[in-house]
Amino acid sequence: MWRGNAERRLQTCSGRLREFGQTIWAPIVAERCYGCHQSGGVAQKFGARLVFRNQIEADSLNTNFQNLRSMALDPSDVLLKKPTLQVSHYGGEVLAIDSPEYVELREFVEDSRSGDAVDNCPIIENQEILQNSQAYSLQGVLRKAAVKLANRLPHQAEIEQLEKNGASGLDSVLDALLSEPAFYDNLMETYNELLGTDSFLENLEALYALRPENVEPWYEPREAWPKQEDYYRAQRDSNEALARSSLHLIRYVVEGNRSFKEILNAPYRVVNALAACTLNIQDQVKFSYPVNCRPDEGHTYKADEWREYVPGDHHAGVLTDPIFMRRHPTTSTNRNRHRANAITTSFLGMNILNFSKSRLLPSAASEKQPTMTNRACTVCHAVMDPIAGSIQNWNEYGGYQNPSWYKDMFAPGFAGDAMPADQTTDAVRWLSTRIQDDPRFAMQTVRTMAHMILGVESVEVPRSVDKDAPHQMELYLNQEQSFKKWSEAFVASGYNLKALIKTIVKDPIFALSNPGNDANDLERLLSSHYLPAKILSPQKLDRKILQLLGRGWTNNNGESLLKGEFYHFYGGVDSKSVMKSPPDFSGLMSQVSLRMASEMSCRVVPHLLSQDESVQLLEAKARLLPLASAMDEPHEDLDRMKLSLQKLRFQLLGEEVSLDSAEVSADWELFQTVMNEVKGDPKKQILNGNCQVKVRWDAQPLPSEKHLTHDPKGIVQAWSAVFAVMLADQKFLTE
Amino acid sequence: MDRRDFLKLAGSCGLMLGLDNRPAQSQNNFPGPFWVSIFAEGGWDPTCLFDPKGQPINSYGAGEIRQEGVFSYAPYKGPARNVWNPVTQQEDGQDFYDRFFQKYKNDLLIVRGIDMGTFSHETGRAYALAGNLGQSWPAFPAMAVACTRPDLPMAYMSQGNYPETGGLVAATRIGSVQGFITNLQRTSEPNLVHPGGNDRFMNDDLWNGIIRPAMNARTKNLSSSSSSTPQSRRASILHAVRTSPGSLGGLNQFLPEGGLTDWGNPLFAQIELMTAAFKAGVAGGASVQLSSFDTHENHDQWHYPMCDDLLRAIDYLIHRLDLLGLREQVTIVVSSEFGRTPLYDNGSSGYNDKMGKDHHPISGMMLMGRGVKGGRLVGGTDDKVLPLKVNPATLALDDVDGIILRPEMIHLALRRFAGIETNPLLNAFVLDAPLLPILEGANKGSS
Repeated sequence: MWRGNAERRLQTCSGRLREFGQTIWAPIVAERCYGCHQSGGVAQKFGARLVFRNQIEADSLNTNFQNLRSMALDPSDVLLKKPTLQVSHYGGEVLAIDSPEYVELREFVEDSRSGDAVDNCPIIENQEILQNSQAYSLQGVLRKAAVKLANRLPHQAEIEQLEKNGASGLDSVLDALLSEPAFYDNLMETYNELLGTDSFLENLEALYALRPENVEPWYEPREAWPKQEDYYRAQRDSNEALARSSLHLIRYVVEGNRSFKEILNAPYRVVNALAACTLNIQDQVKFSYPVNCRPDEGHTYKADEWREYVPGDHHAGVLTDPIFMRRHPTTSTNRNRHRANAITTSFLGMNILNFSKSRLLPSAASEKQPTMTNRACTVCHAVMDPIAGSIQNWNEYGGYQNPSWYKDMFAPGFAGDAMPADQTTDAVRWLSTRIQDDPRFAMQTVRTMAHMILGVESVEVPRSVDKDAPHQMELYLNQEQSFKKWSEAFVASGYNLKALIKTIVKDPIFALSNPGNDANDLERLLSSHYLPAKILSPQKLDRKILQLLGRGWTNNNGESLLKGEFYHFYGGVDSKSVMKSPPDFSGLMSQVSLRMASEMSCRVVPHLLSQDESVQLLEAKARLLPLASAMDEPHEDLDRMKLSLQKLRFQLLGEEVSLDSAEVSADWELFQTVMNEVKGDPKKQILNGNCQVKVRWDAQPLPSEKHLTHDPKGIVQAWSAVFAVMLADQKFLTE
Repeated sequence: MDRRDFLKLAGSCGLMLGLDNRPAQSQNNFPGPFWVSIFAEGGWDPTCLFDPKGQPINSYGAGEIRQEGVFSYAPYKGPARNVWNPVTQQEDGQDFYDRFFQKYKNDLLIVRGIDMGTFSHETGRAYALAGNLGQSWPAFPAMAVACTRPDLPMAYMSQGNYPETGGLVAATRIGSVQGFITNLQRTSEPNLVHPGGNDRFMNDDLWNGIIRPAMNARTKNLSSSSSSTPQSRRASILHAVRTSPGSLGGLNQFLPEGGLTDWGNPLFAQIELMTAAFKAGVAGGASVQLSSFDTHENHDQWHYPMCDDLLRAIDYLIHRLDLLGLREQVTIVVSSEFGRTPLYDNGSSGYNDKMGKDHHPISGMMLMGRGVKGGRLVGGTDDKVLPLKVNPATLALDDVDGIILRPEMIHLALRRFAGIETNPLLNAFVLDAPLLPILEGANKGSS
């Protein structure tokens, strides 16, 4: 309960803020008042004095503490009389006068009148908070950054650069990582979780989503292609170019170090040759090579060259991308509301549908315009409908249309401001400017990047005091403080996304490896939050396998199994009904991971220990098993053996353990057990056919004297066993 | 260290396959109970099915309303069509409405007039499937199986867009059923190169005797970390599914002999997979959905066939359960986000300007199977499809002492029947509702 001055448990600023959050804000105000009284909400629209800062904004809890405290000082008792309907209140009665919540609020009012003013809380740096936690070494941070951002291990030159220059060498390494294709794949996959446009990748859905007159089937007829598979490839790639155009715009903006705001108001679309041909605009776009939109010309297009194309005077980046619009369709009754909520959720971190916990009364169904008159409806519609009206120029196919809007809705606008009348022909561009200048845009970008880099799911103000987790409020405050700091750095950089990412990577939070034995409860909670052990998506695991092992997990045609046959089996999203990766391993995902571990250790390890000298193989060997061979007796140099196990554990799992750790001992025991088992049974000394090395890693012929088909000392299978256990390890499969 | 020592060490730590502290289960003998949720995605119209009204709300007249047992139901007003009937293995040109109610009039419990309190698809879906208006809680089948057998390899199967499990149990997502079966064969024995073949990646003795126990030892170690972290919690679930005694490979034998029904109604193949998984003892709960009930335009043309498909799917589910001897062990709940607008233009029309129907917060549910006393109708709606009050003790309509039915009341009755109402796993998902005598076991006082 809210305690008066005498009883207050914690006199510190953060203590009072925590108490306010847990006793007043989360259970009462956020539940019953915030939906209407937030900035831009229906209460502000009707002239209310009490307006809260949006929860996603920096310092929102502290600011709202002060706001509510100021209101509590009003001698007319408005803070108590309005919610109990003792005086007129548009929102009706939201608190019963004898309810426990009312008693809490009354105590808050009394305390505010007798207490001292509360200043802003001082910032406590993460470094100070996490002083008892274990942090990665600089090399560990580098590995983590390389794996997270580009799904690969650091190159030797990068390690040396860091060893030479210390932390100051990290910047240039990060610049390199942030330029790699895998980073952009991660970025686009992250934004697809918000936009959902990859749902059009299957069944050529992007080609069918647009009006037929806007799509030029340049790849037809099939018979014109010398090879049938080229026809299907051209069709598929054309579809993908349209489906992912929003995601490619985001990539384009980041790649060019442009202001990230541009994703919302770019007057251009980005197209590659396939998209240009399909939209029949190839003459309006300048590529670095001649583009021939004819089947019989064969594959002359370069799918990875993207250029700007200005489709008209009203385009506004992602917001008016036709596929984004089709992904969030509208009807004569939906009236762009679906689109409005998709925009606020994706770019402002504001899911309007979560505003209200109040129940819609059945009688609302019989009201003429409940969205404008019924309290249960207006809480959302007062925010949603103005944004929907600002998209009025865009029809159900995502094409421009002349302005015309409904009168029986809240008028077009944004965040409480009406759209100027002279903006109706260019309404979305006006909307995009408002969104990109809203502080929530920067904060939501921070949240999205924190999710991508750290796997963090942002927490909200805790709703109640959990005895088992008394530091939940500190966690929330720490998160908000970190996000605020990162957001300010992002804005100061001119909205440069790469600068934001580098800020996050250089924060002590990123270096956190585990809570450690001496960590206090808060540190443990922070560790849980910032080390969420999120399961890698099929795409990310696929890239990680390829980059770390030097060989992908593929079928006989060289096609990725995780991105193909096992994609949905391994929890892949379809961007339609399934938008999020699964939080936990299912039995099927476990089986897939076991098969991957079995097959990849069989196919990779014998090569690493063979006399195959393919360049890529030697690189993989240097990364993973630089000290091992198939014939050396491991017991003869135990230190070297344990060093190999220690290095492998670091490379594959990111664990920094000592040579005498339980982990290395367990690996060594496993190694010896398998080795002895093989040595004692001649039948086991013949490698299974799929594991034998008869051709080089690069598929070139390998002289027969260099074939590796037998394992007389058991070393090959012992290393394979160690690899298999590590590849099936949860730490390999999670972030 | 030799293999015997290694295994002894692993065994002494309880690390071997199936040797941890969970209840001993021989392979493939999980007998249930099983829990199935069927969801009509988009918002169904009860007045086109089990809560008929007639004109002007509907296009049919009051005189056309049908009756079987205690149930009145709507006539089929959709277009004529030929539909594959997997029970008879024939094309079927007749709608299924009459046959459904004739066949199941003694098995069905229909609850009318449930106040969903929302027009929102997202909110309504969570409310219908989990009983909570607001945050998305785990769907009921996920809760039920999480409290009983979360270690089953496919404990909770989810097809559709509500895979919420609240971290209680991992959801096995089903996309294409045919692809699922093929991959199941390829992963049921991970060390086998091709299903049905003999080639292995690793030596089988090493794989099963040394490597797998070492993997399990590792997940066990990670899960038993002194502090509870996401890593340890995730490891705990991974350890459970990896050491589960159920065999995924056993599922195939319970699929239809003629192959999956992968045409027509998309629920047919889902049902075949789900029931086979139940019979194989590898799953305990499932949620499936039939989409496209959101008929804002041309309502009659699209909505009646959807309802017809839904009834056929329920019939096929019962048929498969009968064939596999599981019917007595399965509880089925059929629901939707909300209903559809009954009246427009001051009550003169039941359709909008595109002959569609929009969202209406009043819905209903259908229940069948284990724990459900059939042939009962609970609740009701008035001539504007607004809910009538129900006496919480007798379930009779009672305008004086009655209450309006809400989803949490159905869910609380389900939890009580499942015996999970007070399970500590559900402490974060406590329902605030009176306990109504809707299901067996739900008449033991109120919560």
